[in-house]
Amino acid sequence: MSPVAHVTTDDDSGADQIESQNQFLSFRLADEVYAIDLMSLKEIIGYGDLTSVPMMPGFIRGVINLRGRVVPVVDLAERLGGQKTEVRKRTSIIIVEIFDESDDERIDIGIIVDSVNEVLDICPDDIEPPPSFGAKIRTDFIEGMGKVDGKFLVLLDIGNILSIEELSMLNDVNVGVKEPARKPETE
Amino acid sequence: MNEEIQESIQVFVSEAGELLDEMESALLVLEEDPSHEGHINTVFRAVHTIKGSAGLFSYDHIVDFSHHVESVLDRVRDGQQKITSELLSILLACHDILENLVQAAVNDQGAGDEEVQERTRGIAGQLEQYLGESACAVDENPMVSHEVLQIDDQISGIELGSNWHISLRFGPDVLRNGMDPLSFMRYLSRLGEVVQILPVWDDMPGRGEMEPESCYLDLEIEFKSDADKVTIENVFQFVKDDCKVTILPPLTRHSLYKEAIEDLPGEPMRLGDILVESGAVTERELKEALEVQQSEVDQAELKMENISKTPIGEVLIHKGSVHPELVNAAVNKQAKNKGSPEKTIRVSADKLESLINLMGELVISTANIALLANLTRKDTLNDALIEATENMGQLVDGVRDASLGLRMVQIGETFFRFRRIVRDVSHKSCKDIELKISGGEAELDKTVIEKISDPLLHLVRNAIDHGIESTETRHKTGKPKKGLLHLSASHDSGGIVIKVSDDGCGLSHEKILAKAQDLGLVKDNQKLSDQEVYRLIFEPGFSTAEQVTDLSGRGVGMDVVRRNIEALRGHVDVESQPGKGTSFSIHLPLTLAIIDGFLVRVGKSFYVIPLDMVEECTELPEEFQNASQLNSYMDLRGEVLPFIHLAELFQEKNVRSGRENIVVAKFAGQKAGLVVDELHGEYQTVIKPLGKVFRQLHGISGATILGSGKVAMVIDVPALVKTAASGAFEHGRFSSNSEVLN
Amino acid sequence: MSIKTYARNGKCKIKVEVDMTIYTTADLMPKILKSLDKHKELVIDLSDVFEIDTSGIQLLEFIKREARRDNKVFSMVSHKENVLDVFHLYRLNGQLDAIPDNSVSEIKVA
Repeated sequence: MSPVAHVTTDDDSGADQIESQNQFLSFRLADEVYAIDLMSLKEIIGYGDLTSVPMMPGFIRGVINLRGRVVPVVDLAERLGGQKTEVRKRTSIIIVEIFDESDDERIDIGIIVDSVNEVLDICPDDIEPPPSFGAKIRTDFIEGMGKVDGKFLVLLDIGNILSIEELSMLNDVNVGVKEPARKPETE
Repeated sequence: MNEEIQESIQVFVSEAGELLDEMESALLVLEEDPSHEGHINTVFRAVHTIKGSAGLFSYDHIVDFSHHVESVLDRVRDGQQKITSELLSILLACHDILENLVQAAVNDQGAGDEEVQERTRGIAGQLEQYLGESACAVDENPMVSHEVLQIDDQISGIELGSNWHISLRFGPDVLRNGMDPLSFMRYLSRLGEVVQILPVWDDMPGRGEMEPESCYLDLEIEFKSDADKVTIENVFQFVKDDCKVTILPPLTRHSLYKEAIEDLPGEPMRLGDILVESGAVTERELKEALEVQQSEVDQAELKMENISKTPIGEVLIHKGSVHPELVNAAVNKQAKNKGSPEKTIRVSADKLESLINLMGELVISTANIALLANLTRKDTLNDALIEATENMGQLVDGVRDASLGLRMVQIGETFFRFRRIVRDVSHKSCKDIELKISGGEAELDKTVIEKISDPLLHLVRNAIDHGIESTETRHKTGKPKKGLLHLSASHDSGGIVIKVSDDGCGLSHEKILAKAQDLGLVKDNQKLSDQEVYRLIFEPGFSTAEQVTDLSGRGVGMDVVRRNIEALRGHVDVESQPGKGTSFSIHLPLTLAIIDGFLVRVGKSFYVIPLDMVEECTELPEEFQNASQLNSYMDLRGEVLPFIHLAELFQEKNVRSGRENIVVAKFAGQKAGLVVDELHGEYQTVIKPLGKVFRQLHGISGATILGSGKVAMVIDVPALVKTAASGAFEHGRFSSNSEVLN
Repeated sequence: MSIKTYARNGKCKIKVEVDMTIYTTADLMPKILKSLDKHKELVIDLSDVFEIDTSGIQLLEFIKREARRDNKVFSMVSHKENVLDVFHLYRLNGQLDAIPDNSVSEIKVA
């Protein structure tokens, strides 16, 4: 579990604020390249020692011990609707910070990616709104389309993808009937 | 503002908060039973202390207002003003205003916003009526109130009584022994002015038994003098064996005694000695009181009873030797001097939190070292290392318990907060409700208590609002007019159970069902048991209140209550009998942080079962080995033991090795077996929350980090068994979705 | 003799001729009670009492109580200065008639 890189964003460095808003981290996932806003990035660690949590949907791969804290890890590919990520040599876990509006709290979640690429500067003029259709993933998972070297790159809306509300609700929505309605069948 | 002042203001706020809590609960006790007059002193002390501390920070508005409250309380303590329910209501309102003023003061808002000022003026006006002649007005100008203060003191100087009160109960042989009470009185008049004497011959018998040579006289004397208590007592020195002498100092002397008590050196002293040193009590009085105390103990021993000694202060008060107020002052002084257990050190919650966190890390490291030491056992015979790690483990255990103990607080305080709410809410809704509290001494982790008070509040409000009927309805249905709300706490298998019960109308099966069908939670043709129906109230969006009142039903539903409780690794049950009442039981773990666990392996993962639930471990009978059935039952020495196959349930299929074992868990009176692959024994577990992502997950209460750095899941046995019993695993999501999971 | 008794029309006056102290009260009590039993109204003349102590005061209090119990009239007259002092100390002044009473004097019975 040795850190591959340790990138932190410092909220207090006001001068960099505007600039960092336009910085993205790109990574490879199931033969596609995506990028996320650097603001939500906390650190990147190598894949390892993941403990699975029983009775959870498949895209919740499990939890890891992050310096004494237990952090959930999401299989991003599966969450975006693809196949389960196979662990390879360069597989990494990106720890991102999610803001949970319901409780005004920040929560760390790890996402599994095939490999981490680079930090990109994309100026706001080069970011287009997401297409209404045509992308392979849910539209609300896309923050925008960034133009880098003349090619479009999907900028993921990590807040929506890892929405606590949805991650925890999915237990019920995807795989279960509501509890009380189910009970009578058995008794 | 510099940091130091900021910090002391914080101390002021939290102290004032505690004092106001004390004041409130004393007032509520008085409201229930006005004969508990001692509580008025608690109220006075609270107001007085707040006034004093507020003065230090120049919070003039608080000083002014509390001064008026104090003046009224003074009159109550002097017996000039009776404790009436009207007065208590005003004093409760004063409490609220002080609370507001404290808040306003620390926020630099002076006298608070318009509304607070308006109410302050209103209450001050009401207080004025209780002060009779002496003027009382809350004025923006502190100068005026200083004048009021002087006037008050003058008045009280006269009214409080500047005379000593001496009671003499002469024994029968005084006269025969050649002593005449007359001579004592003549001598007494040399020390001051005998203002009044009341001879009492109540003990004088009828004609047949009358002996003129026996003394039947008692004297009550009002005496004005500057002499001190010992000097006055010495007047009666020669008669002391034949006469019970009680000398009560003038009330005006109290402040002198109090000062004397305050000025005593700061060494640990016995309470009696403090009172004697200050002059409030004489040596003789103390000696007699100690004898009374001892004789009580002796008598109790004779009767083979085990009693605790009556505190010496109480004996002295009972004997009339000293005013309760002075005993209080002495007790405070004593506490101050020796830093007795009641006195506490304030530690910021953050510091405590970080201590507990470090403690958790230490526990993990210790487990790791123990593991390594045990590994070396095989290679080198390093017994000393193993012994050293075991020693350290024990010490760490001790430190762990001690540091967790720091955060344990009694739940009673939380319960008592509800008295005010119950009072106010029942007044508002014109219901007569008695709040019964029991088991308040049960201790819980402070963080748990903090998080449980909101759900509790909701349940209490619900009970008052929806549970307990109006006085009329109760009368019609032949119930006692007074509704009963019972808050209780008790320990149960390593956890605590908090109950909120009412004797109201109970839950309505039909109404809940109808609503659930409306919401689509239940199909129209489904038949549900009462229990199942009652549990529906915990579903999101569920509220049967026909009209939303101010009291409850403000959007926060029972689903939030349940979610909050489950977030604490607890669960809530509901029982109800139509027409008889409803009872909510909240089961909570004692602490969130560290538990003793039992480590097991299932497949390639490790799991921890809370040790206090583990009854025994045994090998799984042959017939069940390598069976792939999820749930089954076996014969455990004649008992039917249902069990869950964890490897099946957790989809940990592939790594079966060796013989399987069964852990027999016991909780809430029932037993259940958990089939695991390997037993690893006791393991200290620092529970880490799994976080919100897993909040819907039943059966796993948290995670822990093993010595190896790996994460293990902590099994929530009751939840797991409950879900198994409901059949959810078989008919619900898990078995039918196994392809999804793998 | 320690007392002299004068009686007329059910009214009786007892003149105590000794000091009323611990040394005399045991002797005085039965005598005074005897007169009280015979008459409807009792006046105690203290003009010859030079010293009185608590025992004496107590006896007077006792007689007064007995008289009141039997619905009889009781009063005390003609006390000396130092007796008055003691009465004053015990705040019993109100129970004394300050004026010497001669209405039933000089009628000797028995």
